[in-house]
Amino acid sequence: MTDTRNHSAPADGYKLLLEFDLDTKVLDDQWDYCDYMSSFVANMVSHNRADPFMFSNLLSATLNELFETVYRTRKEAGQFRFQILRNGPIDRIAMLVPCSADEQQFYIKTMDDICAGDASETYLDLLFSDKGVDRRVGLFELAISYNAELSADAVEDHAIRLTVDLALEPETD
Amino acid sequence: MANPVSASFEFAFDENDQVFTLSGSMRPKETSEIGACLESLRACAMRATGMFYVNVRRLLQSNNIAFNGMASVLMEVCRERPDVDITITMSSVVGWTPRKFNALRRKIPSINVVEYDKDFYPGQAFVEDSSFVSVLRRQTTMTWRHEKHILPRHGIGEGMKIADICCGIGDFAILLFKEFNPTYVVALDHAKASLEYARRMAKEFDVTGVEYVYGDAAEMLLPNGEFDFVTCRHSLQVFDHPERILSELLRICKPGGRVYVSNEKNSHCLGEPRSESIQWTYNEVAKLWKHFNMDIEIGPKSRRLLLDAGFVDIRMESFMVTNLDGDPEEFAEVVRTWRHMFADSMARERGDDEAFIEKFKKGFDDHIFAALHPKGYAGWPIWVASGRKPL
Repeated sequence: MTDTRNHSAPADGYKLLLEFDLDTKVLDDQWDYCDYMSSFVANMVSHNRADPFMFSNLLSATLNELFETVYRTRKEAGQFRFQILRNGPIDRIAMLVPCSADEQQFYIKTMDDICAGDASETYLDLLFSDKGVDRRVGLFELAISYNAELSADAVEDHAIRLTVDLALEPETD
Repeated sequence: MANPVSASFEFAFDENDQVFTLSGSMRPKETSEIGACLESLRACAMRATGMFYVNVRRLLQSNNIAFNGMASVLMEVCRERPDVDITITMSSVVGWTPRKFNALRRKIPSINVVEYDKDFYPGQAFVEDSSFVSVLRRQTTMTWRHEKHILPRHGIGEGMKIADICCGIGDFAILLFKEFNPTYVVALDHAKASLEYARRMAKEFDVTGVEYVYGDAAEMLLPNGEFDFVTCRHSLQVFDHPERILSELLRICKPGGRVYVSNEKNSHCLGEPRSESIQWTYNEVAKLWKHFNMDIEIGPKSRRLLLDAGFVDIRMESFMVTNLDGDPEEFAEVVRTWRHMFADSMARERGDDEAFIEKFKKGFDDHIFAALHPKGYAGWPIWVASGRKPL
């Protein structure tokens, strides 16, 4: 992991909590990195939430699904960029994933499917599929089970920008 | 924040209770990596008779590969052994589990999914009543006058990592923070209303060094051997399995660190004048708690409990909170709240008749009378004990 300072500036109202770059070659055959990164990031940014352990547990679960999706989808070499930002109760995960045009379409098509009316049923079908786990399930889970707002934007023909907004803590007075 | 994450997982089957327990973190790349676990789950479930439990209370994480594998096995068992009743016990403390396992229940309605910790604490409903907050705060004020002098004798010092388990409304944790300058305090409780109050108070008093965490004291997610000093006050008496809590307190304590507990023996509450009526009522309090599987008499038993749990170098003492410590009205207000909780709530819940309840209340009223009487004396005894975790 390398610390980089030249990422895009945080969006209005969002404060950057943590960011890193990673050469996707590092991920090759290093599945455990998904677990390590999600646990590390979740622990690092949870301390000032109302219930740090509960928040960390949920954030780690969501991050891991995202990292696993990236792991299973990426084929192109390049720099994977990760940012986590915060605006009040919302945590924003921003990822820049190097990928081919086909892989861009995977993300964009999945986002379209998530917006479809039967997304909840699709999520359950994916989650309990007897054909093993479909790589779309993580993104569906974030949207359906965690009520996350997701977007995927192609960056020219070599990367996808994923943005996930999560509110993991119940609202309090 | 301490890292509660376990990178591996374990599974075990208790033949006697037909409970298959999964714990740790399951994030395989392929289902085959957890094949032995899934095969064991399938085999155990297939040969079960009647009820079959899957305990995921300490399964801190599972990715969709592992979850899909577990769900596939359970769906297969449901198809092939419809006579087996599957119950999944999860903990509301492990945030991801209700989301996933409730989805499984939607998929297979015949599978029961329950939050175990809701049923574990028999007296929880009484002590987690948010209206009880004010008396808890007053009680802490009264006991702190004594405990701030007692705690150093039990090994607390500056710069420690401290855990306050069953922290209630969190005021004791703040007092510890202010008095003993620890590096870090984590305060855990199972009552969400209390924790919300605790966080508000910490914010109000600008205390940023205490982390308030929702958790089950009998199955905490805090890591092993993490804390120099662990406190658990007035709480073993609320649980019907105090040994389970002590086992967890021992686990999270550093080797060489100490665990400090305080408990009551309510039948030893006293007052003059009207001592006989007071004595009768507090003897009845002990019986009432026993009815709800709680032991309000546990105070003097603390030494034995600590030794049985594996602690050494036990230190024990007692102190008496009295009406003379501060404002007698403060003492009276606490007894008024006990009167309400024990007589109006618990005794009625037990089904006691009105004659009993009136006599029961009379003892509390007499205790208040003693506390406020210009020549009276009223007392509430507390036992504190601590043990060292062996190196």
